[in-house]
Amino acid sequence: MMPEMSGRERITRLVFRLRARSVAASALMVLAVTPFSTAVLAANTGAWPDISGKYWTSIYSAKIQPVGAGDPPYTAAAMATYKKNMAAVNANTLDDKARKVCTPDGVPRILESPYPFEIVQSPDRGEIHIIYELNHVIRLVAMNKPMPSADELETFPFYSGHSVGRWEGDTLVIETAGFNEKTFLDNSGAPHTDQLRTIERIRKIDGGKELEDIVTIHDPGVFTKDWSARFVYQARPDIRMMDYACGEKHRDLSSVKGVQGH
Amino acid sequence: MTMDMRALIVGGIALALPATAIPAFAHHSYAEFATDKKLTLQGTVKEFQWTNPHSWMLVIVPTASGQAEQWAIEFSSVSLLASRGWKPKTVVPGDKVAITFHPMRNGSHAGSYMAIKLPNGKEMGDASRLGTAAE
Amino acid sequence: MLVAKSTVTFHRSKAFKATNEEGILSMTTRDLLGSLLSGSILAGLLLWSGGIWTNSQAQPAAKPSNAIPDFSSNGRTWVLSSGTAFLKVPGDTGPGPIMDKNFPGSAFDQQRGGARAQNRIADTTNPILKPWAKKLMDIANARVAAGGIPFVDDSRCWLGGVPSILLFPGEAVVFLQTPKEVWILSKRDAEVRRIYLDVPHSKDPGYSWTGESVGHYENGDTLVVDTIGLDDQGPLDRYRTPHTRQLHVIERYHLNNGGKGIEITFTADDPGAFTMPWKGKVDFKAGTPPRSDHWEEDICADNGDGYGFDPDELVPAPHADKPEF
Repeated sequence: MMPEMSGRERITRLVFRLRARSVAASALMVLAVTPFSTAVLAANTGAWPDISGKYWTSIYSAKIQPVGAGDPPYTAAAMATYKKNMAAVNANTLDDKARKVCTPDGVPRILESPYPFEIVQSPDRGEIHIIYELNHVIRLVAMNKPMPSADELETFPFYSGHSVGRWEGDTLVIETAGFNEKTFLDNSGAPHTDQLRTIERIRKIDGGKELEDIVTIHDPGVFTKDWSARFVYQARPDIRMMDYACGEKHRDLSSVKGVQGH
Repeated sequence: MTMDMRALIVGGIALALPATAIPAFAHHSYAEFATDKKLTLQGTVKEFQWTNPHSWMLVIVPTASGQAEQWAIEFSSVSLLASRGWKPKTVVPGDKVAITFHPMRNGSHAGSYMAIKLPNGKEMGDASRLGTAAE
Repeated sequence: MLVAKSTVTFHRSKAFKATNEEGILSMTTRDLLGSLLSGSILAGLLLWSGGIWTNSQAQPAAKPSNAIPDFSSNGRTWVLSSGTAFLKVPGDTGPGPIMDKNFPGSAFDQQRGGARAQNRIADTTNPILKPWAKKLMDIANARVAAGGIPFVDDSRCWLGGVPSILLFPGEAVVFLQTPKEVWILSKRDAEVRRIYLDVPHSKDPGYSWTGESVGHYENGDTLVVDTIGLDDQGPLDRYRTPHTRQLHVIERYHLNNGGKGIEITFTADDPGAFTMPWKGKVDFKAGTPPRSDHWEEDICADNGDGYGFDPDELVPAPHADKPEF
């Protein structure tokens, strides 16, 4: 049987409980009225799933491979252009400003980049930024916003297009349109028009060790129907992103299988 | 291709005189334009580059002797142009235009846009305004 | 008295409007804290009467030591507002940055048009310059005075270095903040600086255009950025001031004007190029339409070369002679 508590002990216990509650309450108050700190701390664990971090592919292919077998479904005219471009790539005569003066690769070409990229989530801005080391390309994804109007897309065509995003469960869905016609679809010289629209579904897989990006490509200017490609990247929290200055020596790409001419 | 800093600091400056035109991407001083003068030329659009920070229109102008000379007219940024009703295809290669601009002080074939008359007769800009260049 | 009177400041947020513009506690929050404090007073009285006194009773919400200045939320952008030359830091008794020989003490950009000087001539009497640096700059000055076009990094599509990237004019700058890292994005040619928070410098960071930046927050209103590993490729400002790989820059981004401005002061220390450390500053303000209030693509290499310009007169823009992959 418990010894009877003295009055003092009773009060002490009461006070401790009150104090604990007060301390907890005041801690909560501190957190509640430092909302930006909380928002920053909760940036990746608040309402949004967390796919932020650095990623780097371990394989590279100049030609984007459709999911399933075969080639992208080109129209006959587009295929003729493509064949010309491929010949020029082989002869090193293709006017490829992305590789010559380091203009942005565009989408989906940037997705096959043998360089790392990082995803930065900013719920306090309603934005996600995908920052690529190659040519320091910055893709801004406006979250939970409508795609800009056709007029705006036509007036402000971008290399990387205009991107809007939303979450579907653990998957980031990015729609992109409003591309200019200064890029190739991939590193093999594949063509596209300004009718290009892409939808990407991006999520972590393999217990968070990898990131998957399934991109659906729509361009009635060159393709007879939509088609998809799949990219997988390794999560690389161990690396730091580096500067990229055109024409200068860059990081060692020997860990990326299939990169030639480096 | 790396550039030695000393080369940039010293060698980046032309020994030849004078400067013949403006670097396309420079936030240069508008002192290089004769903002108290204007020139109107008729010609054919070769290219309309819709870019930041300055769009450029390249116009081929026939000279009295039957030659063709290229003039490069600098416009403002894409956002500002768009706010004034411009679109990337407001002019296209082959369009015949009459363009009014502040010429360069040193006489080179470049200038700062003031006004334009489009093939359909539509006039844009302000040909009567002297003073600072379009921006 | 159990409770010290204090003004508690918090910064704005969309999520919880506890504070007004100046970050002073709003009435509601004050009331809430008031009731909390009464509880504390009661607890304190009980403790006192029980003969047990501790110091760890509930405290009023003091200024949190993890308060973070907000450069980022609500999609805000920033733009250079003090002109494209470093200014002297008010109260600095040192020599200050290199300034214009023809317009001492004033921002270069305010001089436009007419018969005024068209390009920058550096005042090389500034005692910070070591003899070799002064000599280079005097040669450059002479050529500019004779009509040559001087090199400016962003006009030839070169990366901005530190602190020269602070002088990129007219276009949006965006801060992204997470607990471990801050990104500073420049719309002009999509440049990126990364600041790693609350970690020391690497033993061997190498050399690059933007160097290695580590930082931390101070006073709830300032981001301090410490940068080393800056390669010596580009000039440090728009007066063609050179530097060496020994350059060490400490920047202080002080959020002011009710969160609507940033005063950026820095100390530059380079025993290879300068006789002493020196200080300079720029100011940023909230971005304005039509160019600096939002992000858009602005790709330097998209521009053709200066029309009519003799290519030999221009420093070549960065380019790759053959495809890298």
